[in-house]
Amino acid sequence: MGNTAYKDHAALSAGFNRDEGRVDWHDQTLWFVRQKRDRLSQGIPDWEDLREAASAIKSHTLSNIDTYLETFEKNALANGIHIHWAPDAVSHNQTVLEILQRHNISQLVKSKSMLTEECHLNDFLEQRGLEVTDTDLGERIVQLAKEPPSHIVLPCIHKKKEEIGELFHVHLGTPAGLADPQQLTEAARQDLRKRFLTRRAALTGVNFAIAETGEFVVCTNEGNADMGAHLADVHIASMGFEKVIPGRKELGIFLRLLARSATGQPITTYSSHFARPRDGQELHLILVDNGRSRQLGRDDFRASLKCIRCGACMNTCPVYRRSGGHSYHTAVAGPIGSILAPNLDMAQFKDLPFASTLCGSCSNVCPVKINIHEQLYKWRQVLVRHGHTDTKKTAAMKAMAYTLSRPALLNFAGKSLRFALRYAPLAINNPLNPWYRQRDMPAAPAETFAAWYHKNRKGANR
Amino acid sequence: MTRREIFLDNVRKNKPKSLPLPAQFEPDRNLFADPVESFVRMAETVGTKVLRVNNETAVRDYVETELPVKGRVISPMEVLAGLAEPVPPGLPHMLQDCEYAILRGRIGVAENAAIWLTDQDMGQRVLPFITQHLCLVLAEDEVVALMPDAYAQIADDAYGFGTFIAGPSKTADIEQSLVIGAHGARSLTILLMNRNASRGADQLMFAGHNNHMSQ
Repeated sequence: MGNTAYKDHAALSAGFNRDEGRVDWHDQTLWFVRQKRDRLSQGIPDWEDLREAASAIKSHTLSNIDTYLETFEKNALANGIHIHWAPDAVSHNQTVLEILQRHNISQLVKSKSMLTEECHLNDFLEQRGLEVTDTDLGERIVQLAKEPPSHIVLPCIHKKKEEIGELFHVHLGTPAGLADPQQLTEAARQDLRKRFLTRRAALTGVNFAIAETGEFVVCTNEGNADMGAHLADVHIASMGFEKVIPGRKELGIFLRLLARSATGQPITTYSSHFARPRDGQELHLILVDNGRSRQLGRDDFRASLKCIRCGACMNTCPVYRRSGGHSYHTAVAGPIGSILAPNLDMAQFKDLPFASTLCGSCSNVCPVKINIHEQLYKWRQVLVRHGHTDTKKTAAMKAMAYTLSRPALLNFAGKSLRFALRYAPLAINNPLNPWYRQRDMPAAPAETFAAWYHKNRKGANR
Repeated sequence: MTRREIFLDNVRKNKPKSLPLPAQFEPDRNLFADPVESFVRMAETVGTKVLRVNNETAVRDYVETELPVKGRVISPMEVLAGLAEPVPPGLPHMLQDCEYAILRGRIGVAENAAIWLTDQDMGQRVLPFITQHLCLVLAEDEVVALMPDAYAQIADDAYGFGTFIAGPSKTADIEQSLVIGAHGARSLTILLMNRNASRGADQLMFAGHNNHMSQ
């Protein structure tokens, strides 16, 4: 984003689509993850009931969210956790900075947190002279490449191992041409271990916060959140307020859904429950709103706050798989990101609800049963009402509505089109008509449906 | 107004009409004929090595004879006194050269092969992550079928830190190729005992009030 000229989803997708081989690889790899999710979810006989229960728990929690947040705060404070409230991204970033400055800390390790991507925390801290090391392997790779993550669970899924090898050669001193995932991972392990052992502050995300106990849960496969948090003097955890759930009983439901939906694993390697700081450590938790309360007030889009960030909707989305995560130009890409982003900035993300076929696959795999495709459709209507649509498209739609509501005109237009398709196809299928870029028209039919109907109607009545 | 007041005020203004918490979800428990067998099978699919042993004496025998003895071996388990170094107190960074950690787990979950342990079982929270190799000891009768069963046992236990560990540390961030040994332990071995000796806090051994093992 930043200073570069605005490019919408279609323009950014066109860039990604220039390398057809990579698009095919991206498409198939994500589909493979989707298939793993299917196998794992089908192994749970009451999977559908589990989704329903999770969805209902989230509905209940969101409708009493103020009470749950206060309960969580009370119990977390009693556990010795410092609680901070950040109404927006700026106050979140300032809170992190203040905590670090109070301890004279200028370097921190960070595990995956899409919220800090949303708040642009790294830029904020780096502009003030602090150093941030992302420690999730995929996030470290995109950080070295100076790119944002392209997927919330698989941050560098858009990269090939040869490109990663080149980055590591430049930044970590691995041999030129090394592209073996095992060896590259080992190089990152060695480099990041040094950082875990020397950085005094660690920032983690939060997967779930438990109101009744005042603890929070962080799930990783790599163990990077734990390596950071258990070695640091200061642990800062950042969470959107929608991560609160009532109790440990409910946690038992969500942990069954999360990894199966995300990567097709029965559970992540580590599901760590942080209740109290360890002796001598300071533990801070920052609760963030940043537009979530506004979304909570929108009847049609409230359910988007149920999201547990598994990424299943991305892996299944026929558009995401072929356009890549960066085409969404927002921290959370894909179908769920396309219903979250317009809430943050309608003008900037007006294109995203249109980056969908509305096929509904996202809603079908969502572990908390968010009606994602219906919300995409509803966002389109909101965007049109607010005047955020392309004028050419609006004019075309109006012309079409005018024509379709006038039989004589429709008849004339149909005749003209069939004539043109038959005798002067270039008048329609030419480089000036964007419709034809990835499409073709069928051959013009010999007769219209209306003509066919008139001819056969008598026969049908007999 | 403070940030807290602004925050809660915005949330209150926007929250919808209260919806009830659904009746407690009763999971389908017919997933496994034998939770212990399923636990073992699932552990193997997530990259864990499972060894069946008789009891804690057999655990000691295993550590004595099978374990690679190069490097530091650390365990808070009393039964391993003299074989493994007790967990040193102080800076967690001192554990950075730990080669092998052996910890007593509390609950095993058949549906995902995760083992629950708390900071009381670790001595130092970072130990199960910073060690190159991890060994978890569990008894068969500590295996439950599903995550809700595990939380029914955890109930309102007070701990500072607790974690479910399912397999060795792993990543597939580079082209979805599975690599074992990301930042945490490079391997996980479960010693599954078919007999459970009663366990209590007095069985755990920490440095300071027990004899140190020389390196």
